[in-house]
Amino acid sequence: MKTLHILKTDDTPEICFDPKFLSLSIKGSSFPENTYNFYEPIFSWLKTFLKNPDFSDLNIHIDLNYFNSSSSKVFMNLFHLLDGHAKSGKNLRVNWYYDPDDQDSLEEGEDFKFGLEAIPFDLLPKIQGQ
Amino acid sequence: MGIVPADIGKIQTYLDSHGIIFLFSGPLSQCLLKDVVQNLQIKKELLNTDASTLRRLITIIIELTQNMMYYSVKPPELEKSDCNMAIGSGLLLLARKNNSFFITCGNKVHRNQVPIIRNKLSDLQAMTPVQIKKYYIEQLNRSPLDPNEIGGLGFIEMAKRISKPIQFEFDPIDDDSQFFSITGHIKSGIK
Repeated sequence: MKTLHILKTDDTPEICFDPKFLSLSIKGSSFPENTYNFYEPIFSWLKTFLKNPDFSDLNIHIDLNYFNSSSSKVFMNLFHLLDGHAKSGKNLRVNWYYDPDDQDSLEEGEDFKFGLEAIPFDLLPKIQGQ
Repeated sequence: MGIVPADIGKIQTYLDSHGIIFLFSGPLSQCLLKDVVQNLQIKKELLNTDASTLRRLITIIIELTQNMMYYSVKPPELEKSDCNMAIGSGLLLLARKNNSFFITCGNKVHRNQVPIIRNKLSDLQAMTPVQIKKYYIEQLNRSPLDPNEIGGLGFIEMAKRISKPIQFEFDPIDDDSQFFSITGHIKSGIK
């Protein structure tokens, strides 16, 4: 599988999907005009990856700044998709990075985690200056 | 009667005396929203507030502006435009009084939308912060979401982040539309 790399803009995050390192990272702000269109290629890439029997591991890193409610909905859909595959034996893990100076960003991670059953979902403080 | 230069000074004095940090009225698009977000980040020091408050302000501005982009009734010349961008029309205001910020948005909505918006907001007004949080998690996990739903998760997101219940009004304009205004108060944290 090929690497998927989408550069960040003022209203969309950087997306980096690297099959070599078995990682997907979403980093930046996410409040595009049409959230569903923006994330569609990421969902289709991810679905292809999860169907591939050669890969059973994936670490997902989410480090967000500002995001709109339709992005929250898309992320929750993404986590549910991953949770389903984690239940059927894939070794998946989400790392949610929060700002230690902003209680809300920790609670946002907790809200997503609450609806999940199988996938490990770790809440990690962002390292300042990164 | 047109506005003369001397009026601009009066408008500015009025805005300053009411603690208005910015006021925008007219066509609103994603481009303008991106600029507002960037501008607030730059003004971070001037706003003299903590990271959490700034992020709440920006999050609510994003929700309300995007609601307006998708659901406001636009002037006919904007409706006719063949531009693919979602352009709304209305008023967006950020102000500060003592230790609170308030964000207000106002726009024309079609009368069919009035009961839908009113019900959603009245329900949220009656909830405690704990109930809002529970309702937010329920709605977040509910699938599928209708992407055309007015203020689906957005109003709940706003209610979750503000310090007092959402305030809103509908003022009749004509048989087809009403002017919808909504305000959220946020107590500033200590920097």
